[in-house]
Amino acid sequence: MQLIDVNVWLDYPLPGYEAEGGPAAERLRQLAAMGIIECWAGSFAALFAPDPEPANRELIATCAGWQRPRVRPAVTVNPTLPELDRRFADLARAGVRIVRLYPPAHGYDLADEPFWQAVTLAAKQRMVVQVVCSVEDRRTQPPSVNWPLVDPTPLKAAAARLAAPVVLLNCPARRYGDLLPGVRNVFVDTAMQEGAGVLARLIEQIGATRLLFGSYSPVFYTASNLLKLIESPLPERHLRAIAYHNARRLLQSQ
Amino acid sequence: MAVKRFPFLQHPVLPAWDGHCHLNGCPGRTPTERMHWLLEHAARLGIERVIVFMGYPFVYDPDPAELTRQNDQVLQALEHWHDRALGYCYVSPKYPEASIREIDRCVRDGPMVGIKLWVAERCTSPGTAEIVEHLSRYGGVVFQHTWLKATGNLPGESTPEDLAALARRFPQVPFICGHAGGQWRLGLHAVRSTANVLVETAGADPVAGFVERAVDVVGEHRVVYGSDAGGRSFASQLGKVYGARLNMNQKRLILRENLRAVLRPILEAKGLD
Repeated sequence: MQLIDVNVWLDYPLPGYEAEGGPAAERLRQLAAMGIIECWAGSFAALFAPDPEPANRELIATCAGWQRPRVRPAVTVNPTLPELDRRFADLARAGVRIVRLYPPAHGYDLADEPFWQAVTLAAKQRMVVQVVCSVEDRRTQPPSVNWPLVDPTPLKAAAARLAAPVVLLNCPARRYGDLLPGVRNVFVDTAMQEGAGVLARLIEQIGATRLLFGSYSPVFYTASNLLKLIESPLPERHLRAIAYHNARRLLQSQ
Repeated sequence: MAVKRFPFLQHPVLPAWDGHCHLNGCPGRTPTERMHWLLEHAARLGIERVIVFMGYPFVYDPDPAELTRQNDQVLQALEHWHDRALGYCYVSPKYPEASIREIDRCVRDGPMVGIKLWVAERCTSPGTAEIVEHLSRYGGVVFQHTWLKATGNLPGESTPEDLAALARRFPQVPFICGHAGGQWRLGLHAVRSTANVLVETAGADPVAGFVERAVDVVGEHRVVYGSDAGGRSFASQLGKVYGARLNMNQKRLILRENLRAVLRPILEAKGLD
């Protein structure tokens, strides 16, 4: 079975973390060996830069060199910076299809106008929006990245404005709760979903079309999310949807 | 015979004992139904045996009646599964006399193979020593939940340092440092020099590097796998060991052999090994 991993990072480590898993090229080869044919990869350097554009350009160039797996750049956008229109247009010209937002790192939340501007511009440029909801459980986060968990509930109140698909990365189920069934165009990745038999339980709650495989590699052990695909007795069609088709459909829908 | 491998991971399936499971968080109307559900999911990942403790719902500061009620739930859950499930007796340092009665009922006269200390009171309290002293007559393991939360511990929540202090007083008793303190970069070092403390991998995010670091700091014979299922995914926690840059022998030790070794005396005494 082929997999698309929507939550990968090329550069590492985060401040306060050790570098694990070797250089990016080695890590990507390992992902390919596990059946991951495509990954959506972000850059921590872009996240922490005052202006993410130089690190984004580097990310786009690195991704272009990969075929097995295919690596799509998930570029960092800080919607509180000026010239947001121009930034999105530049990214579209560079062939970018996925943008990654980090509300706590850049000082806004999902009720704020900068977020909605980013969603509107992403829709205009036929892009998918990823929102990184947390770095790690707050109880174990190093002080260098001790950010609050993003609150996704404003998505419900403004559901009509969700012109682009929004993927919540690293968002535990307790946080989005019953949000998803009532709001179209919002998706979650598997990375921080917890509980025995978690995928089957989530499918009961939100359906199989809203879940995307995300490993959060190399911050998390990739094996942790691969094994979730085995832990629950899932029908083949659900497994394929989570592993591959939902991510593919998201890009095609844009 | 062909070695069974996990799909995707392309890793041989290794026999595992999960040293940290709960009935809480599992679906089912009765303890028996919950245990059945838990074991069904464990088996999909090669987990042969689980150790279950505390009933449901979770109670931070249980009184003696609640301890008995929760231990009864676990005893009921174990009833049909002695070949695949073991139990620890839930005790509280706030009630040493009642806890000793529970140890006699569940460990000395029952099938349980250790005790679980949670967050009612830190393990530096006199009540804990009294309980551990009593358990030491029958063998068995002391499982102590430990955390060093970046957001602040509960008042009765023990740290790995607290556990190291307790364990030094009872060098013949095997202790398990539950969660390795959560912030494992700190927790591992706190118990490093206390040889009768094993560190456990359960119940925090599967941040890469944890298991390798545990082996570096305390050695491959002092690390044991646990998941904290049903609240945690078996998979997310098992992936810490399968994903670690360790050799196959080290993974075997962590997944089963280390826990089996510390439990062997009491398992043999009870005819459960």
